[in-house]
Amino acid sequence: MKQTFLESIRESLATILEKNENAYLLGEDIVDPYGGAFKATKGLSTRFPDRVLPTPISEAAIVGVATGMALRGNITIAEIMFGDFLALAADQIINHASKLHMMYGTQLDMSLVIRTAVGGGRGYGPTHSQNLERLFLGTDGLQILAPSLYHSPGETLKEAVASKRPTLFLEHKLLYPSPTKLGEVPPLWAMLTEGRWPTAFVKNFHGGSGDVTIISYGGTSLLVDEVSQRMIDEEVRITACFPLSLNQLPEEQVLEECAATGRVIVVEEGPTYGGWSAEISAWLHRALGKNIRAPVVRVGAANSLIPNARSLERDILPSINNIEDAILAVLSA
Amino acid sequence: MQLILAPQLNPNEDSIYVVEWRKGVRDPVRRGEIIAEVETSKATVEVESEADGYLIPLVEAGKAVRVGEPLAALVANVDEQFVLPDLLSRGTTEASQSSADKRRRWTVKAKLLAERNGLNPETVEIPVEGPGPVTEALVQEYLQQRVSSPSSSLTISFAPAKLAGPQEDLVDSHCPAGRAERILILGAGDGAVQTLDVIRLTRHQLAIGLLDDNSDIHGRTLLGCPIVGPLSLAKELWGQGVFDKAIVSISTNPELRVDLYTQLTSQGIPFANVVDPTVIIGSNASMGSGNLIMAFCRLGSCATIGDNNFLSAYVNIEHHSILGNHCTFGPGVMLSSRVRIGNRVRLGTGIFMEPKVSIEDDAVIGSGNILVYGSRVSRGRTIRTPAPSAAAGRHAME
Repeated sequence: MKQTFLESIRESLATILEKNENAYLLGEDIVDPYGGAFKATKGLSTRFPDRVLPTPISEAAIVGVATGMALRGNITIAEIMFGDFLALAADQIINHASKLHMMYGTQLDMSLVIRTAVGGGRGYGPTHSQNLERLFLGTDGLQILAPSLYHSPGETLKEAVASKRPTLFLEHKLLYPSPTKLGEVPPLWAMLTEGRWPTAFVKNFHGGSGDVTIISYGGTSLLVDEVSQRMIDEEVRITACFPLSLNQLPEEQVLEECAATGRVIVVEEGPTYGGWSAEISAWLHRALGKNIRAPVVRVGAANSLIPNARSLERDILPSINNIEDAILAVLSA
Repeated sequence: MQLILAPQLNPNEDSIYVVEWRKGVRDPVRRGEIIAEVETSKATVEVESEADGYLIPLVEAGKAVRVGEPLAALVANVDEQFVLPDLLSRGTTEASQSSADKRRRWTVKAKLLAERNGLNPETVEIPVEGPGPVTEALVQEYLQQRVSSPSSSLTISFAPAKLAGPQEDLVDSHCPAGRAERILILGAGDGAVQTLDVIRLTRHQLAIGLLDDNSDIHGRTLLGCPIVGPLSLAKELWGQGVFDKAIVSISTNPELRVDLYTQLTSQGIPFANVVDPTVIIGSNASMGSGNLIMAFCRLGSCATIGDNNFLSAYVNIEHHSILGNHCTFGPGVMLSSRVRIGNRVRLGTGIFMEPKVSIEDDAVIGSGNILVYGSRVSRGRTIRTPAPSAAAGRHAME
């Protein structure tokens, strides 16, 4: 049986703790038998009792302490139970974790990874379903990673620790039970680029050029994947790009794929207003120049509360229909 | 036989995991007895039997089951045969297809191609072999057949066959010397009407067609001259030898004016100067190509103008003045001597300049301005119209 997204993370956490005497996990309710709200740390406190540390309910404290420990040369992986709670740790993340290692003349390595579960689709309500990573875009010194269906979250986690840079690591809740789709999985063709933060390029066709390029990240890869498969029957050739890093985009490669079709859709689960897709879209409009054949279309959540009721939640979050409408829009332009 | 379905333990879970079975296959159970332990993301819960019977677990320990799907079955007798009913058959798709839904499915790409070519996917019949949908390739084939069939009622958006090279013309082919230059006009708006008006008065030029991106007017004529297709057709028409020179008639979209001229010249297409016969050109004055000069303009002695400029009526470029490229002038702009104007400068109407005025690239001079001796307008600067007597509420210079 293929390893799930969650299992990959749990396994890598174990490996990191095993190989590094100075690695620590901090978070709310992460110790056994509960093992974390999403079970990411299940079994770890039993194996490493001194280094899997439960914390008080204070996200600022969790990140603050983890930052301090990391500055002292430890490897700290802080779990923020729900991405919505990042707001409580915002000052620690933006003004401390991202800056302290660079602010005081001496550049320090800092292996701090802040892991958090993001995204909706489970009816968890307005304050447990958001994608707040856009609030941290543009914070220099913070790398933001969001593994998709096509990335190994465990490997990414290990790389994040090895990079010795403060990292925000986004795990979409809906991805947790999915087996990761590494390599070629018919009917789609997937390819990962080289480099530290590989980008996944997934095509629903073989040979020849595409019609539409879709750029997305993290959990939205589930939606885009399904749309790509459905579009095979409609003869719409889609190249999907899933970068791993939100703020270190492999510009050349993505630009090449976008220029090849000239029709680009950017999809994110957060609201489109002031979001990551706005940044990507603005960049593409300038960088593509005469290769643009239709204005870039963005798909994201409505800028509104995410309701508890599943049927209402569906109307706010981006859906397969939204993406298919966007595809029609760029093709008809 | 009775089914026990996987319970919804909290509103957020779609499926639950079976941790372990407390009873074995075909064990007797009583109603209320605990038969299994299941787990959600929040807690583990014990599941009770809903009735008496012999238990048949349906989900392996360690596996997940969707909420509402069968978790176990209860049979009345220990050796009763059990077959899981086909709960998943929700009716075949063939049966659910209504009789009104007899039309063949079209793929998205097939529909787009059809609509772009004036075909309605709801009404057009395209033959398909086999059960598959109407594909883009089939629509493509259909369109090509229609184009080549003489009884086709499909209007094609351009008709290159209408324009012929001079070899076809009975006069030009027999007496080629001194034949009129065939001019292709880019843009079919008001500027084109002015351009055609001028070309009518010149013997050495003949307007043979216009190109415009407004597809609604393709196939129509402007002052008798055919509007043949979109601007992108220029290269192909050049390749067919259908025209000798081009001219940009657009004056209100300066960027498009520049783009068209530069793109087409880079493709080797030459541009004509279209100059009204009333224009006075002084001694040793010169101009580049692609200039459109309306009635009663004057180029003074030794005045030079570059390429792709549009001069409305009554513009005076006084002696020794220098004008760059891609500039547009409203009517009645009066330069005095030795004025220098750069590139892509836009000038309104009724502007007066004393000698030695210098205007740099991309400047905009509003109507009614008077620039005194030696004034300098720096690059990109806009000089607004001074105290207009009436304003329409929009920017003075459009």
